[in-house]
Amino acid sequence: METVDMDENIISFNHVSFTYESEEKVRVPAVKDVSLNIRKGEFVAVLGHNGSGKSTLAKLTNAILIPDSGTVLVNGMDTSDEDLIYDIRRTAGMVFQNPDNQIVATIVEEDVAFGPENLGVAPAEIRRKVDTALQEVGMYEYRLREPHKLSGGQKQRVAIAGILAMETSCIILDEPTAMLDPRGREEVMKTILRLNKQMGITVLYITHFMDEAVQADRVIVMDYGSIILDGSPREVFSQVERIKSVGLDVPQASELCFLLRGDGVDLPEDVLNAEECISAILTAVKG
Amino acid sequence: MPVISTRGLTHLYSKGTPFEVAAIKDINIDIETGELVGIIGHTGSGKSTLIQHLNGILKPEQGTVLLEGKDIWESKDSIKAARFKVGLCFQYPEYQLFEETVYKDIAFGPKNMKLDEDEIDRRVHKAADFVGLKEELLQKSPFDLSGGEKRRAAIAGVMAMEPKVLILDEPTAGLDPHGRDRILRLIREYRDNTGSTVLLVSHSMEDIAGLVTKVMVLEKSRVAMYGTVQEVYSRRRELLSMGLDVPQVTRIFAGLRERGLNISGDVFTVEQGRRELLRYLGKGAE
Repeated sequence: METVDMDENIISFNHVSFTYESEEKVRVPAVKDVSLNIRKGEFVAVLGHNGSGKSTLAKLTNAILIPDSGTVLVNGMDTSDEDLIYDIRRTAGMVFQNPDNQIVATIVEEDVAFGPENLGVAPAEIRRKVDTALQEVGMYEYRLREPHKLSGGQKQRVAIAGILAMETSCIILDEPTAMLDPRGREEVMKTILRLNKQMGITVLYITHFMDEAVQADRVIVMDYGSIILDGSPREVFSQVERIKSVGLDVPQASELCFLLRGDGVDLPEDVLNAEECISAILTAVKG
Repeated sequence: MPVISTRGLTHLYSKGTPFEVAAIKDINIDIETGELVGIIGHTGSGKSTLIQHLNGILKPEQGTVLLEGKDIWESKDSIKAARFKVGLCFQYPEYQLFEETVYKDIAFGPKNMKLDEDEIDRRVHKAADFVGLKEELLQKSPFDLSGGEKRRAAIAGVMAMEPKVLILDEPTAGLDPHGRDRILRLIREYRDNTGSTVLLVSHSMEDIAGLVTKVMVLEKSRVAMYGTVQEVYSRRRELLSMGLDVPQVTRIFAGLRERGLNISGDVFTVEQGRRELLRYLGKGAE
Protein backbone atom coordinates (compact mmCIF):
# COMPACT_ATOMS: atom_id res chain seq x y z
CA MET A 1 0.00 0.00 0.00
CA GLU A 2 2.67 2.50 1.07
CA THR A 3 4.37 3.51 -2.13
CA VAL A 4 5.74 6.90 -1.09
CA ASP A 5 9.46 6.94 -0.38
CA MET A 6 9.79 7.43 3.40
CA ASP A 7 12.67 9.87 2.95
CA GLU A 8 10.27 12.25 1.27
CA ASN A 9 7.93 12.38 4.23
CA ILE A 10 8.80 14.76 7.00
CA ILE A 11 5.78 13.74 9.07
CA SER A 12 4.16 10.31 9.12
CA PHE A 13 1.17 9.25 11.19
CA ASN A 14 0.63 5.52 11.22
CA HIS A 15 -2.73 4.42 12.72
CA VAL A 16 -2.51 7.04 15.45
CA SER A 17 -5.11 7.30 18.20
CA PHE A 18 -5.21 9.61 21.19
CA THR A 19 -7.80 9.85 23.96
CA TYR A 20 -8.13 12.51 26.62
CA GLU A 21 -9.34 11.53 30.05
CA SER A 22 -11.53 14.06 31.84
CA GLU A 23 -11.55 14.58 35.61
CA GLU A 24 -14.54 12.28 35.92
CA LYS A 25 -12.50 9.59 34.16
CA VAL A 26 -14.60 9.91 31.06
CA ARG A 27 -12.50 9.00 28.07
CA VAL A 28 -12.87 11.36 25.14
CA PRO A 29 -11.27 10.15 21.92
CA ALA A 30 -9.70 13.12 20.12
CA VAL A 31 -7.84 11.42 17.28
CA LYS A 32 -8.99 8.07 15.95
CA ASP A 33 -6.80 5.79 13.85
CA VAL A 34 -5.30 8.54 11.72
CA SER A 35 -2.76 7.69 9.05
CA LEU A 36 -1.19 10.57 7.20
CA ASN A 37 2.00 11.47 5.34
CA ILE A 38 3.24 14.98 4.84
CA ARG A 39 5.99 15.49 2.28
CA LYS A 40 8.89 17.87 2.67
CA GLY A 41 7.98 21.33 1.42
CA GLU A 42 4.24 20.76 1.44
CA PHE A 43 1.81 23.38 2.74
CA VAL A 44 -0.97 21.43 4.39
CA ALA A 45 -3.99 23.10 5.98
CA VAL A 46 -6.01 21.14 8.52
CA LEU A 47 -9.60 22.36 8.74
CA GLY A 48 -12.10 21.35 11.36
CA HIS A 49 -14.60 22.76 13.83
CA ASN A 50 -13.83 23.10 17.54
CA GLY A 51 -13.38 19.64 19.01
CA SER A 52 -12.71 17.96 15.66
CA GLY A 53 -9.27 16.82 16.82
CA LYS A 54 -7.26 19.20 14.69
CA SER A 55 -5.32 20.75 17.59
CA THR A 56 -4.62 17.32 19.04
CA LEU A 57 -3.21 16.32 15.67
CA ALA A 58 -0.89 19.34 15.83
CA LYS A 59 0.26 18.53 19.35
CA LEU A 60 0.95 14.92 18.38
CA THR A 61 3.21 16.18 15.61
CA ASN A 62 5.83 17.69 17.86
CA ALA A 63 5.63 15.40 20.85
CA ILE A 64 3.56 17.64 23.11
CA LEU A 65 1.24 14.64 23.09
CA ILE A 66 2.31 11.02 22.53
CA PRO A 67 -0.08 8.61 20.77
CA ASP A 68 -1.94 5.98 22.82
CA SER A 69 -1.51 3.68 19.88
CA GLY A 70 0.19 3.94 16.51
CA THR A 71 3.32 5.95 15.75
CA VAL A 72 4.19 9.49 14.72
CA LEU A 73 7.48 9.92 12.90
CA VAL A 74 9.09 13.33 12.41
CA ASN A 75 11.91 13.06 9.90
CA GLY A 76 12.01 9.39 10.79
CA MET A 77 12.20 10.06 14.55
CA ASP A 78 9.57 8.38 16.70
CA THR A 79 7.88 10.97 18.96
CA SER A 80 7.44 8.38 21.71
CA ASP A 81 11.23 8.19 22.14
CA GLU A 82 11.96 10.69 24.94
CA ASP A 83 15.63 10.93 23.98
CA LEU A 84 14.66 12.41 20.64
CA ILE A 85 12.31 15.08 21.93
CA TYR A 86 14.71 18.02 21.43
CA ASP A 87 15.63 16.88 17.94
CA ILE A 88 11.96 16.50 17.10
CA ARG A 89 11.09 19.99 18.31
CA ARG A 90 14.07 21.41 16.45
CA THR A 91 12.72 19.81 13.31
CA ALA A 92 9.08 20.74 13.81
CA GLY A 93 8.42 23.96 15.75
CA MET A 94 5.02 25.04 16.93
CA VAL A 95 3.20 28.41 16.94
CA PHE A 96 0.12 28.65 19.14
CA GLN A 97 -3.16 30.49 18.94
CA ASN A 98 -2.80 33.18 21.58
CA PRO A 99 0.03 35.57 20.70
CA ASP A 100 0.25 36.74 24.31
CA ASN A 101 0.89 33.31 25.74
CA GLN A 102 4.09 32.55 23.92
CA ILE A 103 6.23 35.60 24.48
CA VAL A 104 8.93 35.02 27.09
CA ALA A 105 11.24 38.05 26.83
CA THR A 106 10.86 41.82 27.16
CA ILE A 107 12.70 42.66 23.92
CA VAL A 108 11.75 41.21 20.54
CA GLU A 109 15.23 39.92 19.63
CA GLU A 110 15.68 38.29 23.03
CA ASP A 111 12.41 36.49 22.54
CA VAL A 112 13.58 35.15 19.19
CA ALA A 113 16.93 34.15 20.73
CA PHE A 114 15.26 32.05 23.41
CA GLY A 115 15.11 28.88 21.31
CA PRO A 116 18.69 28.85 19.99
CA GLU A 117 19.98 29.82 23.46
CA ASN A 118 18.29 26.78 24.92
CA LEU A 119 19.87 24.64 22.24
CA GLY A 120 23.31 25.86 23.37
CA VAL A 121 24.17 27.69 20.17
CA ALA A 122 27.28 29.93 20.32
CA PRO A 123 26.50 33.66 20.89
CA ALA A 124 27.83 34.92 17.55
CA GLU A 125 25.85 32.25 15.79
CA ILE A 126 22.72 33.19 17.77
CA ARG A 127 23.11 36.81 16.65
CA ARG A 128 23.23 35.73 13.03
CA LYS A 129 20.28 33.36 13.34
CA VAL A 130 18.11 35.88 15.16
CA ASP A 131 18.81 38.63 12.63
CA THR A 132 18.12 36.33 9.71
CA ALA A 133 14.91 35.02 11.26
CA LEU A 134 13.61 38.52 12.00
CA GLN A 135 14.36 39.59 8.44
CA GLU A 136 12.52 36.58 7.07
CA VAL A 137 9.31 37.53 8.88
CA GLY A 138 9.73 41.26 8.19
CA MET A 139 10.22 42.20 11.83
CA TYR A 140 13.92 43.17 11.80
CA GLU A 141 13.16 46.85 12.32
CA TYR A 142 11.23 45.95 15.44
CA ARG A 143 14.05 43.90 16.98
CA LEU A 144 14.60 46.27 19.92
CA ARG A 145 10.92 46.87 20.64
CA GLU A 146 8.91 45.51 23.54
CA PRO A 147 6.80 42.58 22.31
CA HIS A 148 3.70 43.53 24.32
CA LYS A 149 3.46 46.79 22.39
CA LEU A 150 3.22 45.02 19.04
CA SER A 151 -0.01 44.19 17.21
CA GLY A 152 -1.32 40.62 17.28
CA GLY A 153 -0.07 39.92 13.77
CA GLN A 154 3.38 41.25 14.63
CA LYS A 155 3.52 39.12 17.78
CA GLN A 156 2.71 36.03 15.76
CA ARG A 157 5.47 36.91 13.28
CA VAL A 158 7.90 37.20 16.19
CA ALA A 159 6.76 33.76 17.37
CA ILE A 160 7.40 32.40 13.86
CA ALA A 161 10.86 34.02 13.88
CA GLY A 162 11.57 32.24 17.15
CA ILE A 163 10.96 28.94 15.40
CA LEU A 164 12.97 29.90 12.32
CA ALA A 165 15.92 30.85 14.53
CA MET A 166 16.15 27.18 15.48
CA GLU A 167 16.43 26.42 11.76
CA THR A 168 13.49 24.07 11.80
CA SER A 169 12.44 22.55 8.52
CA CYS A 170 8.78 22.32 9.49
CA ILE A 171 6.42 24.77 11.19
CA ILE A 172 3.18 23.70 12.83
CA LEU A 173 0.73 26.52 13.45
CA ASP A 174 -2.28 25.87 15.67
CA GLU A 175 -4.92 28.45 14.70
CA PRO A 176 -2.35 31.26 14.62
CA THR A 177 -4.85 33.82 13.31
CA ALA A 178 -7.95 32.95 15.36
CA MET A 179 -7.42 35.94 17.64
CA LEU A 180 -6.20 38.41 15.01
CA ASP A 181 -7.97 41.09 12.99
CA PRO A 182 -8.07 40.84 9.17
CA ARG A 183 -4.83 42.79 8.73
CA GLY A 184 -3.01 40.60 11.25
CA ARG A 185 -4.39 37.48 9.57
CA GLU A 186 -3.12 38.65 6.22
CA GLU A 187 0.34 39.44 7.61
CA VAL A 188 0.68 35.98 9.11
CA MET A 189 -0.61 34.24 5.99
CA LYS A 190 1.74 36.18 3.69
CA THR A 191 4.68 35.35 5.96
CA ILE A 192 3.83 31.66 6.00
CA LEU A 193 3.35 31.52 2.24
CA ARG A 194 6.72 33.16 1.70
CA LEU A 195 8.52 30.78 4.05
CA ASN A 196 6.92 27.85 2.31
CA LYS A 197 7.41 28.97 -1.28
CA GLN A 198 10.83 30.61 -0.98
CA MET A 199 12.53 28.62 1.75
CA GLY A 200 10.81 25.31 1.21
CA ILE A 201 9.70 25.06 4.83
CA THR A 202 7.02 22.45 5.41
CA VAL A 203 3.87 23.99 6.88
CA LEU A 204 1.14 22.27 8.85
CA TYR A 205 -1.50 24.93 9.31
CA ILE A 206 -4.42 24.28 11.65
CA THR A 207 -7.36 26.63 11.08
CA HIS A 208 -11.09 26.98 10.83
CA PHE A 209 -10.81 29.79 8.29
CA MET A 210 -11.70 28.41 4.90
CA ASP A 211 -10.17 31.40 3.07
CA GLU A 212 -6.78 30.51 4.56
CA ALA A 213 -7.06 26.85 3.70
CA VAL A 214 -7.77 27.75 0.06
CA GLN A 215 -4.19 29.05 -0.19
CA ALA A 216 -2.57 25.76 0.87
CA ASP A 217 -1.32 23.01 -1.47
CA ARG A 218 -3.41 20.45 0.30
CA VAL A 219 -6.40 20.57 2.64
CA ILE A 220 -7.26 17.95 5.24
CA VAL A 221 -10.70 18.14 6.86
CA MET A 222 -11.16 16.55 10.27
CA ASP A 223 -14.36 15.63 12.02
CA TYR A 224 -14.71 13.71 15.30
CA GLY A 225 -11.07 12.72 15.31
CA SER A 226 -10.95 11.30 11.79
CA ILE A 227 -9.78 12.64 8.46
CA ILE A 228 -12.87 12.87 6.26
CA LEU A 229 -11.44 14.74 3.26
CA ASP A 230 -7.88 15.05 1.98
CA GLY A 231 -6.95 16.67 -1.32
CA SER A 232 -6.17 19.88 -3.17
CA PRO A 233 -8.28 22.91 -2.16
CA ARG A 234 -10.16 22.50 -5.43
CA GLU A 235 -11.00 18.87 -4.73
CA VAL A 236 -11.94 19.49 -1.11
CA PHE A 237 -14.06 22.61 -1.58
CA SER A 238 -16.05 21.02 -4.37
CA GLN A 239 -17.59 18.89 -1.61
CA VAL A 240 -19.85 21.74 -0.53
CA GLU A 241 -22.49 19.64 1.23
CA ARG A 242 -19.97 17.50 3.06
CA ILE A 243 -18.05 20.51 4.34
CA LYS A 244 -21.13 22.42 5.42
CA SER A 245 -22.44 19.30 7.18
CA VAL A 246 -19.41 19.34 9.50
CA GLY A 247 -19.96 23.00 10.39
CA LEU A 248 -17.37 24.59 8.10
CA ASP A 249 -17.52 27.23 5.39
CA VAL A 250 -16.74 26.98 1.70
CA PRO A 251 -15.86 29.99 -0.49
CA GLN A 252 -18.97 31.95 -1.49
CA ALA A 253 -18.11 31.27 -5.15
CA SER A 254 -18.25 27.50 -4.50
CA GLU A 255 -21.46 27.78 -2.51
CA LEU A 256 -23.20 29.94 -5.11
CA CYS A 257 -22.37 27.48 -7.90
CA PHE A 258 -23.46 24.58 -5.71
CA LEU A 259 -26.87 26.16 -5.01
CA LEU A 260 -27.40 27.11 -8.64
CA ARG A 261 -26.53 23.59 -9.79
CA GLY A 262 -29.32 22.46 -7.46
CA ASP A 263 -31.62 24.86 -9.32
CA GLY A 264 -30.69 23.23 -12.60
CA VAL A 265 -28.10 25.73 -13.83
CA ASP A 266 -25.27 23.96 -15.61
CA LEU A 267 -22.18 24.99 -13.61
CA PRO A 268 -18.96 23.10 -12.84
CA GLU A 269 -18.39 21.56 -9.39
CA ASP A 270 -14.87 22.80 -8.80
CA VAL A 271 -15.27 26.59 -8.76
CA LEU A 272 -12.94 28.04 -6.13
CA ASN A 273 -12.76 31.81 -6.54
CA ALA A 274 -14.61 34.88 -7.85
CA GLU A 275 -12.89 34.92 -11.25
CA GLU A 276 -13.68 31.27 -11.97
CA CYS A 277 -17.25 31.81 -10.81
CA ILE A 278 -17.73 34.77 -13.17
CA SER A 279 -16.37 32.80 -16.15
CA ALA A 280 -18.47 29.76 -15.29
CA ILE A 281 -21.68 31.79 -15.01
CA LEU A 282 -20.96 33.64 -18.27
CA THR A 283 -20.44 30.32 -20.04
CA ALA A 284 -23.61 28.88 -18.51
CA VAL A 285 -25.89 31.78 -19.42
CA LYS A 286 -24.54 32.17 -22.95
CA GLY A 287 -24.39 28.45 -23.68
CA MET B 1 -36.35 60.09 18.44
CA PRO B 2 -33.04 58.26 18.29
CA VAL B 3 -32.37 56.01 21.28
CA ILE B 4 -28.70 56.90 21.34
CA SER B 5 -26.81 59.83 19.84
CA THR B 6 -23.48 61.54 20.10
CA ARG B 7 -22.62 65.15 19.41
CA GLY B 8 -19.06 66.25 18.73
CA LEU B 9 -17.72 63.26 20.64
CA THR B 10 -13.94 63.35 20.78
CA HIS B 11 -11.46 61.34 22.82
CA LEU B 12 -7.71 61.79 22.95
CA TYR B 13 -5.19 59.30 24.27
CA SER B 14 -2.04 60.49 26.09
CA LYS B 15 -3.57 63.94 26.21
CA GLY B 16 -1.15 66.80 26.77
CA THR B 17 1.90 64.71 25.85
CA PRO B 18 3.83 64.63 22.56
CA PHE B 19 2.15 61.24 21.93
CA GLU B 20 -1.36 62.69 21.89
CA VAL B 21 -3.57 60.83 19.39
CA ALA B 22 -7.26 61.11 18.75
CA ALA B 23 -9.03 57.79 19.25
CA ILE B 24 -12.29 59.29 18.06
CA LYS B 25 -12.81 62.69 16.55
CA ASP B 26 -16.02 64.68 16.31
CA ILE B 27 -18.40 61.73 16.16
CA ASN B 28 -22.04 62.66 15.46
CA ILE B 29 -24.34 59.66 15.24
CA ASP B 30 -28.05 59.02 15.68
CA ILE B 31 -29.20 55.45 16.14
CA GLU B 32 -32.93 54.83 15.98
CA THR B 33 -34.72 52.37 18.26
CA GLY B 34 -34.76 48.81 16.97
CA GLU B 35 -31.86 49.13 14.56
CA LEU B 36 -29.33 46.32 14.34
CA VAL B 37 -26.13 48.14 13.50
CA GLY B 38 -22.92 46.49 12.32
CA ILE B 39 -19.84 48.54 13.22
CA ILE B 40 -16.91 47.87 10.91
CA GLY B 41 -13.40 49.26 10.97
CA HIS B 42 -9.80 48.26 11.46
CA THR B 43 -8.09 47.87 14.80
CA GLY B 44 -7.28 51.40 15.86
CA SER B 45 -10.12 52.98 13.90
CA GLY B 46 -11.86 53.98 17.12
CA LYS B 47 -14.57 51.29 17.43
CA SER B 48 -13.78 50.26 20.99
CA THR B 49 -13.36 53.82 22.19
CA LEU B 50 -16.69 54.78 20.69
CA ILE B 51 -18.67 51.93 22.24
CA GLN B 52 -17.06 52.49 25.63
CA HIS B 53 -18.42 56.02 25.57
CA LEU B 54 -21.93 54.83 24.75
CA ASN B 55 -22.41 53.19 28.13
CA GLY B 56 -20.34 55.60 30.13
CA ILE B 57 -17.20 53.55 30.75
CA LEU B 58 -15.30 56.45 29.26
CA LYS B 59 -16.27 60.04 29.95
CA PRO B 60 -16.21 62.35 26.94
CA GLU B 61 -13.43 64.90 26.91
CA GLN B 62 -15.37 66.84 24.35
CA GLY B 63 -18.92 66.39 23.18
CA THR B 64 -21.88 64.50 24.60
CA VAL B 65 -23.54 61.10 24.57
CA LEU B 66 -27.33 61.30 24.57
CA LEU B 67 -29.54 58.43 25.69
CA GLU B 68 -33.16 59.03 24.72
CA GLY B 69 -32.28 62.68 24.22
CA LYS B 70 -30.60 63.21 27.61
CA ASP B 71 -26.92 63.65 28.34
CA ILE B 72 -25.87 60.49 30.18
CA TRP B 73 -23.39 62.52 32.27
CA GLU B 74 -26.03 65.01 33.44
CA SER B 75 -26.10 63.60 36.99
CA LYS B 76 -24.92 60.69 39.13
CA ASP B 77 -28.27 58.98 38.67
CA SER B 78 -28.32 59.44 34.92
CA ILE B 79 -24.90 57.88 34.41
CA LYS B 80 -25.81 54.95 36.65
CA ALA B 81 -29.03 54.43 34.71
CA ALA B 82 -27.13 54.62 31.42
CA ARG B 83 -24.87 51.75 32.44
CA PHE B 84 -27.92 49.54 32.95
CA LYS B 85 -29.79 50.73 29.89
CA VAL B 86 -26.82 50.29 27.60
CA GLY B 87 -25.38 46.79 28.04
CA LEU B 88 -21.86 46.21 26.80
CA CYS B 89 -20.42 42.80 26.11
CA PHE B 90 -16.65 42.93 25.63
CA GLN B 91 -14.45 40.94 23.31
CA TYR B 92 -13.69 37.46 24.67
CA PRO B 93 -16.26 38.04 27.43
CA GLU B 94 -15.72 34.50 28.73
CA TYR B 95 -12.46 35.70 30.28
CA GLN B 96 -14.56 37.80 32.62
CA LEU B 97 -16.62 34.96 34.05
CA PHE B 98 -15.61 34.74 37.69
CA GLU B 99 -18.44 33.46 39.87
CA GLU B 100 -18.72 29.99 41.41
CA THR B 101 -21.63 29.03 39.23
CA VAL B 102 -22.97 29.96 35.83
CA TYR B 103 -26.18 31.04 37.54
CA LYS B 104 -24.38 33.56 39.74
CA ASP B 105 -22.46 34.89 36.78
CA ILE B 106 -25.58 35.57 34.76
CA ALA B 107 -27.24 37.04 37.88
CA PHE B 108 -24.37 39.46 38.50
CA GLY B 109 -25.75 42.30 36.36
CA PRO B 110 -29.38 42.06 37.50
CA LYS B 111 -28.18 41.89 41.12
CA ASN B 112 -26.27 45.13 40.69
CA MET B 113 -29.50 46.65 39.44
CA LYS B 114 -30.96 45.88 42.88
CA LEU B 115 -33.81 43.81 41.44
CA ASP B 116 -35.65 41.48 43.79
CA GLU B 117 -34.75 37.78 43.96
CA ASP B 118 -37.75 36.56 41.98
CA GLU B 119 -37.09 38.98 39.17
CA ILE B 120 -33.40 38.05 39.12
CA ASP B 121 -34.33 34.37 38.98
CA ARG B 122 -36.78 34.95 36.16
CA ARG B 123 -34.21 36.89 34.16
CA VAL B 124 -31.40 34.38 34.67
CA HIS B 125 -33.56 31.52 33.44
CA LYS B 126 -34.91 33.51 30.56
CA ALA B 127 -31.45 34.63 29.38
CA ALA B 128 -29.91 31.17 29.84
CA ASP B 129 -32.77 29.57 27.95
CA PHE B 130 -32.47 32.15 25.22
CA VAL B 131 -28.79 31.51 24.58
CA GLY B 132 -29.40 27.76 24.73
CA LEU B 133 -27.72 26.89 28.03
CA LYS B 134 -29.42 23.89 29.58
CA GLU B 135 -30.87 24.18 33.09
CA GLU B 136 -28.37 21.68 34.56
CA LEU B 137 -25.43 23.84 33.44
CA LEU B 138 -26.54 26.72 35.66
CA GLN B 139 -25.18 25.15 38.83
CA LYS B 140 -21.87 24.24 37.25
CA SER B 141 -18.70 26.28 37.50
CA PRO B 142 -18.30 28.48 34.42
CA PHE B 143 -14.87 26.93 33.99
CA ASP B 144 -16.44 23.53 33.30
CA LEU B 145 -18.23 24.82 30.22
CA SER B 146 -16.96 24.47 26.66
CA GLY B 147 -15.61 27.55 24.89
CA GLY B 148 -18.85 28.18 23.02
CA GLU B 149 -20.97 27.69 26.17
CA LYS B 150 -18.78 30.14 28.12
CA ARG B 151 -19.20 32.74 25.41
CA ARG B 152 -22.98 32.29 25.47
CA ALA B 153 -23.07 32.43 29.30
CA ALA B 154 -21.22 35.74 29.21
CA ILE B 155 -23.60 37.15 26.62
CA ALA B 156 -26.57 35.91 28.69
CA GLY B 157 -25.20 37.92 31.62
CA VAL B 158 -25.56 41.13 29.63
CA MET B 159 -28.92 40.15 28.14
CA ALA B 160 -30.27 39.44 31.65
CA MET B 161 -29.97 43.15 32.39
CA GLU B 162 -32.53 43.63 29.60
CA PRO B 163 -30.77 46.71 28.26
CA LYS B 164 -32.49 49.02 25.78
CA VAL B 165 -29.30 49.06 23.78
CA LEU B 166 -27.13 45.96 23.59
CA ILE B 167 -23.58 46.45 22.34
CA LEU B 168 -21.38 43.46 21.51
CA ASP B 169 -17.70 43.84 20.66
CA GLU B 170 -16.77 41.10 18.20
CA PRO B 171 -18.97 38.44 19.77
CA THR B 172 -17.81 35.78 17.28
CA ALA B 173 -14.03 36.31 17.60
CA GLY B 174 -12.17 33.02 17.81
CA LEU B 175 -15.26 30.86 17.20
CA ASP B 176 -15.51 28.29 14.43
CA PRO B 177 -18.10 28.83 11.67
CA HIS B 178 -20.76 26.82 13.49
CA GLY B 179 -20.28 28.73 16.76
CA ARG B 180 -20.21 32.00 14.85
CA ASP B 181 -23.48 31.31 13.02
CA ARG B 182 -25.14 30.33 16.27
CA ILE B 183 -24.17 33.58 18.02
CA LEU B 184 -25.19 35.72 15.05
CA ARG B 185 -28.56 33.99 14.88
CA LEU B 186 -29.07 34.58 18.63
CA ILE B 187 -28.33 38.26 18.27
CA ARG B 188 -30.82 38.60 15.45
CA GLU B 189 -33.50 36.75 17.42
CA TYR B 190 -32.81 38.83 20.52
CA ARG B 191 -33.36 42.02 18.60
CA ASP B 192 -36.47 40.68 16.83
CA ASN B 193 -38.01 39.38 20.08
CA THR B 194 -37.28 42.32 22.34
CA GLY B 195 -37.32 45.24 19.93
CA SER B 196 -34.06 46.41 21.51
CA THR B 197 -31.42 48.26 19.62
CA VAL B 198 -28.29 46.20 18.98
CA LEU B 199 -24.82 47.38 18.00
CA LEU B 200 -22.43 44.73 16.83
CA VAL B 201 -18.73 45.30 16.24
CA SER B 202 -17.43 42.97 13.54
CA HIS B 203 -14.43 42.46 11.30
CA SER B 204 -16.38 40.60 8.68
CA MET B 205 -18.30 42.33 5.93
CA GLU B 206 -19.64 38.90 4.95
CA ASP B 207 -20.98 38.07 8.43
CA ILE B 208 -22.98 41.24 8.81
CA ALA B 209 -24.25 41.47 5.20
CA GLY B 210 -27.35 39.36 5.73
CA LEU B 211 -27.87 40.33 9.35
CA VAL B 212 -27.93 44.05 10.06
CA THR B 213 -30.25 46.94 9.25
CA LYS B 214 -27.45 49.52 9.18
CA VAL B 215 -23.69 49.53 8.74
CA MET B 216 -21.35 52.05 10.36
CA VAL B 217 -17.81 52.24 9.00
CA LEU B 218 -15.17 53.82 11.18
CA GLU B 219 -11.94 54.99 9.64
CA LYS B 220 -9.18 57.02 11.23
CA SER B 221 -11.21 58.00 14.30
CA ARG B 222 -14.22 59.20 12.32
CA VAL B 223 -17.49 57.76 11.06
CA ALA B 224 -16.77 57.39 7.35
CA MET B 225 -20.11 55.85 6.37
CA TYR B 226 -23.45 55.10 7.99
CA GLY B 227 -26.33 53.61 6.03
CA THR B 228 -28.03 50.44 4.85
CA VAL B 229 -25.97 47.47 3.66
CA GLN B 230 -26.76 48.47 0.11
CA GLU B 231 -25.75 52.11 0.62
CA VAL B 232 -22.46 51.21 2.26
CA TYR B 233 -21.47 48.13 0.22
CA SER B 234 -22.05 49.94 -3.07
CA ARG B 235 -19.12 52.26 -2.22
CA ARG B 236 -16.59 49.53 -2.87
CA ARG B 237 -13.80 51.77 -4.11
CA GLU B 238 -13.82 53.80 -0.91
CA LEU B 239 -14.02 50.65 1.19
CA LEU B 240 -11.01 49.22 -0.62
CA SER B 241 -9.04 52.38 0.05
CA MET B 242 -9.70 51.76 3.76
CA GLY B 243 -8.44 48.20 3.45
CA LEU B 244 -11.96 46.77 3.69
CA ASP B 245 -13.61 44.69 1.02
CA VAL B 246 -17.11 43.68 0.05
CA PRO B 247 -18.13 39.99 0.16
CA GLN B 248 -16.87 37.68 -2.59
CA VAL B 249 -20.40 37.23 -3.94
CA THR B 250 -20.74 41.02 -4.33
CA ARG B 251 -17.49 41.05 -6.32
CA ILE B 252 -18.81 38.21 -8.50
CA PHE B 253 -21.95 40.16 -9.42
CA ALA B 254 -19.98 43.37 -10.01
CA GLY B 255 -17.76 41.30 -12.35
CA LEU B 256 -20.75 39.89 -14.21
CA ARG B 257 -22.09 43.40 -14.78
CA GLU B 258 -18.70 44.60 -16.01
CA ARG B 259 -18.73 41.77 -18.54
CA GLY B 260 -22.01 43.04 -19.88
CA LEU B 261 -24.56 40.91 -18.06
CA ASN B 262 -27.71 42.90 -17.32
CA ILE B 263 -27.84 41.83 -13.72
CA SER B 264 -28.19 43.63 -10.37
CA GLY B 265 -25.00 44.60 -8.59
CA ASP B 266 -26.87 44.82 -5.26
CA VAL B 267 -25.95 41.33 -4.14
CA PHE B 268 -24.47 40.98 -0.67
CA THR B 269 -25.25 37.40 0.35
CA VAL B 270 -25.02 34.07 -1.47
CA GLU B 271 -28.80 33.64 -1.25
CA GLN B 272 -29.37 37.06 -2.87
CA GLY B 273 -26.94 36.06 -5.60
CA ARG B 274 -28.76 32.83 -6.25
CA ARG B 275 -32.11 34.61 -6.54
CA GLU B 276 -30.74 37.31 -8.79
CA LEU B 277 -29.20 34.85 -11.22
CA LEU B 278 -32.35 32.75 -11.33
CA ARG B 279 -34.36 35.92 -11.98
CA TYR B 280 -31.98 36.75 -14.83
CA LEU B 281 -32.46 33.28 -16.25
CA GLY B 282 -36.21 33.64 -15.86
CA LYS B 283 -36.38 30.71 -13.49
CA GLY B 284 -37.21 32.22 -10.11
CA ALA B 285 -36.14 30.51 -6.89
CA GLU B 286 -38.59 28.11 -5.39
